[in-house]
Amino acid sequence: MANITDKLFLRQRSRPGKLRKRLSSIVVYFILAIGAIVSVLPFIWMILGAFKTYAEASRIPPTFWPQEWVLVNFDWAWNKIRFPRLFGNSMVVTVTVTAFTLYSSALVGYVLEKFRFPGRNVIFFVVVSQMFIPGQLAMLVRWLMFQEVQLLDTLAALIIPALYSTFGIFLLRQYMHTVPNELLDAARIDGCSEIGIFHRIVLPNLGPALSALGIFTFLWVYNDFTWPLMALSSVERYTVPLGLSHYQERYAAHVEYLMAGSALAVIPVVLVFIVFQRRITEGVALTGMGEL
Amino acid sequence: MQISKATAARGRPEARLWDRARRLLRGRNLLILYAMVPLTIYALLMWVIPVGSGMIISLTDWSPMDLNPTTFVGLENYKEVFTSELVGKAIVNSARYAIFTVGLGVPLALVVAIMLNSISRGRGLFRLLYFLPVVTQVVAVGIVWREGLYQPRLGLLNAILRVVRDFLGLNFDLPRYLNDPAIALYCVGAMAVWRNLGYNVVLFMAGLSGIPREYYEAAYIDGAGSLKAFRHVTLPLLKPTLVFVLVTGISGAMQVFTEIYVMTTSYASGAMMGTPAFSTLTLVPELYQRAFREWRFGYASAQAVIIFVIISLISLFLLRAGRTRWEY
Repeated sequence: MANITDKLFLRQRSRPGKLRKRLSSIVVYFILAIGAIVSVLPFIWMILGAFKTYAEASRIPPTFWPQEWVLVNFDWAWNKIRFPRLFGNSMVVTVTVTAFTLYSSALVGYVLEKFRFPGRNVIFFVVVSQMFIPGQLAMLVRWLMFQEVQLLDTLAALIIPALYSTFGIFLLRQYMHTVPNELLDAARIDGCSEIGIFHRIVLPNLGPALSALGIFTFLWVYNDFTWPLMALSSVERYTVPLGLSHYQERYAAHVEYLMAGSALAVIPVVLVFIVFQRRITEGVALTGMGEL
Repeated sequence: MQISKATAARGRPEARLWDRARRLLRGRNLLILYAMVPLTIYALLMWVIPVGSGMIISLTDWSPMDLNPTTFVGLENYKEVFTSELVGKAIVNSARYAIFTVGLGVPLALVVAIMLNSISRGRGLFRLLYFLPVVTQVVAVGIVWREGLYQPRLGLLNAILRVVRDFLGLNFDLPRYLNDPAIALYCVGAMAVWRNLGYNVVLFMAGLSGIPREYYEAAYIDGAGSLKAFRHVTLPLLKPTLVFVLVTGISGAMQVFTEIYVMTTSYASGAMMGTPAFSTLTLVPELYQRAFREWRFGYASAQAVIIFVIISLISLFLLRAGRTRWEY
């Protein structure tokens, strides 16, 4: 790829010497390295803090490297706040929502883009306008609706409002032009049913868009806090962020406990991210541009 | 097979009706119904009715905990929103927060993206490191920043500052971060800038790689320096990305909730958000406390409508200002 911005830092007309070029690239690397350290330092501090004893964690001034490595904080996070249960609740919600969102977004996006039928524009208008309406307005009435049908304080209350994603529909509708109409017509001539065409031809051709949407839905739902905070009241049904925030207040004096709990919440996602790094950052570019 | 059956049945009227109904429910019509009927029901229940009744409720004194019948109060709630001291503080704080996070975060991301595009080796590694905070939970990293970094006595930041102070032989008071009303909101904002930087960097890098190299060559041949090339080539061609980052950044910052909840809820005194002294109380936390502490859903809905109007106006203005007048 073109090194466009070499030119932003080096005046080309004055034909800079090799030394000057190398100097400026050293400066760039130096600044980027400082930024990278700032990006990572809070995680390192979190992980080191999670292995400290209570005595060491409350020492002033704090030590950087633990003098004695202990696992008692993870024991607290695992058994006392029952992290596996929090994580299980989060996974039930996140996996269900992600799977359903991928399917529903592809289906609705496909039908809205490739077919003309009465009411199509109205539905599309509702989908797009919903993207621009901040969530708080609908949340209060939604809270009452779930209370009326006795679904408040269940995991279903977290799953149902996220089954369809306006963003997902919009993204996949835009991406639908990559599925050529000739391919669909060929399948029709071969006698494939319309629903079969969607399942066998359209879905497999949406790979990059679906993986980008899947990753984002997963992260959004795993992170979601506002609506779960309103909807859930029993600790048994708390998701990871709710559980952390619940015990944050109770154990504010035990920094080392809180670091261990946060580390358990952060590390699985970070590992997944490192594996799928390229796909995720490409997905940001794809989805970000898709929205305008 | 199907065709021959249909031809055979064409004789009798009831069979013809059946045939028509079946044809309506076949092929593309069946697919359209399969996609659109559940979506329509869902959209009515989850989107249209909640938003519509939210607007109606903002005209009433409705409360889920109040046994008295709900009464229509006209624009009373809106009058209260505009005269409320807390809402006034929340609007100012939200604006400060949005200006700080966007004003610091977007230029920073642009600079990092330009630097990353200019280096030849290690780009992938840097992008990975900068993007790492984006995938983390706000609650988890919020706790880490509040208890691990900002904590005045035990936190990492003041530990570093203490070393620097002693090393330079200076004498100054260490900052109290989230406990200091003057800077608490910006401390929350700094965490948000840190967490979102990588996301904007990746967007800007994608935008930069879409600018043809020849444009820069042409600019340099015409005698432009690097700053001029940035101003007349990079910025205009990056405008769509810039507008997108600004619109999503500002509307997200105006709706900040989780960061405020995790980092400013007091551990004592009724677990109120916005400590110290309402200096970090922003719009959505204010709305949340009116709704779920005082159960005043009517009043909270009026606040939600106002938030919606504010964000729409800002977004429309930015989208209009950012419309490109030329094609490239």
